[in-house]
Amino acid sequence: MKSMLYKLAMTPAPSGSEEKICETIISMLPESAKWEKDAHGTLIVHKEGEGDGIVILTAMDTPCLYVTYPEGGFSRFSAVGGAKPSEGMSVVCQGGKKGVIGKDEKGLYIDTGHETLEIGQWAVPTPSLETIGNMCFGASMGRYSAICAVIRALLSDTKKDVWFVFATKSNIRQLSPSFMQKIKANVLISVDVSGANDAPAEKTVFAALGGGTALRVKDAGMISSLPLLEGLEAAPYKTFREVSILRGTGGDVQKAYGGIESVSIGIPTRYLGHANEMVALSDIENTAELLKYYLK
Amino acid sequence: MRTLLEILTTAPGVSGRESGAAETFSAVLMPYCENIELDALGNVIASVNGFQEGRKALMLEAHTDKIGLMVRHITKEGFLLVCPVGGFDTKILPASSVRIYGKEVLHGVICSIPPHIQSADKAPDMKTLCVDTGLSPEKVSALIKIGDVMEFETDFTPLGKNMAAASAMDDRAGLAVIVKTLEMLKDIELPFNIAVVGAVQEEVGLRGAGSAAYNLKPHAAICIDVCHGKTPDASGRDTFEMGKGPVITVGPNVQRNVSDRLIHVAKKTEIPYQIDVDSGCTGTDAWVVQVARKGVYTGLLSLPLRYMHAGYEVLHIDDAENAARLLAAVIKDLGKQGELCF
Repeated sequence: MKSMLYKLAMTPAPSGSEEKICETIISMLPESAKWEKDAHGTLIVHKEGEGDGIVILTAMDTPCLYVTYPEGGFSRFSAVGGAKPSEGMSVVCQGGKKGVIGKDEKGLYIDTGHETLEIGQWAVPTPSLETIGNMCFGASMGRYSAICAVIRALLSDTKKDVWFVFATKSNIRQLSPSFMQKIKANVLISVDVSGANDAPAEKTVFAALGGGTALRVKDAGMISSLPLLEGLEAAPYKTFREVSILRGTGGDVQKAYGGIESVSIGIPTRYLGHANEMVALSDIENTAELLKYYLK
Repeated sequence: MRTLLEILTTAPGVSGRESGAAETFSAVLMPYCENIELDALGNVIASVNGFQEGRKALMLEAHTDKIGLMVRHITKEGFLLVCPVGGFDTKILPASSVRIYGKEVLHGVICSIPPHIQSADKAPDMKTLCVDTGLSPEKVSALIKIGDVMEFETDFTPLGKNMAAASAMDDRAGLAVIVKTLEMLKDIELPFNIAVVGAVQEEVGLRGAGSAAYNLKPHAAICIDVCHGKTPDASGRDTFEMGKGPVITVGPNVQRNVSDRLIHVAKKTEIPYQIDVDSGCTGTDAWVVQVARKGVYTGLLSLPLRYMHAGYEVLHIDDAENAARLLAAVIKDLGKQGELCF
């Protein structure tokens, strides 16, 4: 799992430019996999099987920065989708240029030394993956972990009819549910990140690393189906209930077209949107196993 | 109408957990509808005269859900840390009693700080709002889970000659209007289909009605919801007289020919009405219904309501009666012209 996660984590996946991460995901699929990309860049992998269709959805884009005003080696930018840039954070820019976030009285900028960026180019926190025992951290590690768990489930055996969907632009709330027009399914499982708040001073912990998979009763964009949630809760894997204030990935899909019975699950993640996010490897594994169990 | 309102407003149904309200609404529709069922999201879908092929459909829609609270965390002392489901004014919450839908129905009181020991006169922070069940932490853990919902524990209370107070008049009064309309149309042959929708999750972002409209493919729809009733302390803008008739919305979120038809019929039949000019999103299901599939000719009829989203919302029952009369009259008028067209 670590090698898969590493490969994913080393691939920049800024919202709106998900081509590279999509290629990386495709490279992990078996040769026989049936996949297609729609006009939005959404990757849809279909494993034909029996019974009513199941959609396993995750997003493949990460928070990022877009250059708005380049001036020599200094570029002002707009932060996209919950990105929390801070002074001293290192970034990788479109085209491979590297930079550091600086700050002056007007705000933050990307310092690329003598290199010049162009307006509209993206930048992401420098990709990395470090592990400390059961924990690992790196840029956008929560999102890469969700992708990793879904791919693990995709590579497992199932007799069910399953559509694995890797969507784009979720961080700008522009995830298009149009793929649902061609999918025949009646259950959606949205795999997301959950904001872990198990810092030492926190009195009320809603989600903790190593606590297993969050079963999100409600988030800012979706209320999960209780029967589906209770079904996952009854599985022999570590789960906990979460009522999240974050906006998840599946809300727009749940209500699209005729609507679909849906549940949202999440991998607890510390420091969402910052230079490094931390997750527990056991939670990724647990989420992958939970999905596999559901698909059996 | 009063009995209908009492039955509907006392049914449980916080957004996302509308099964109680759906069951109650389905039961009161039974004498007038066939094919009553729930769709994937839990919307109640019913047909008055069958979904007959080749005929256009008029959709009557109101929402089944009500605002509520959801358990986010259980403290070691057994208090329930809650978050809102729908829009709340936190100033009205402290010391309210709530009905909690856990393993069994439980009662609780929203925690409040007595004025004697309050440090500042400010609205409570929803992030720290707790509910006290009076039970031991062990009992609370055994009976209540994170994600369980609760709603105001209030009764249906008649007020004065023809007013009533209850929680969830928004939008159970809309459901009552639909039922009453169907009662008035009973045994009348219509040349188009009538579909009824009790939509879920309106209070958390208009999340149910669009899917229902997508599935039903109506040619036209009339949504029934509530608007703000006048009170002495409220601004005159955006509030409407109680007992002076339902409110017909005019603006880009509805089709002019639908609102014109409502106004025309109201004048012709001398049913009192008021007009709301809404320049953008009405904040009702009309917003998502209007753009479903290729677009739906949409109208919006609202009932003035005092104290919206509080434990007691006050409605003038005459407004609900007149809304039903107006809807029935419009539908009969449309029936006379033959095929449903605007």
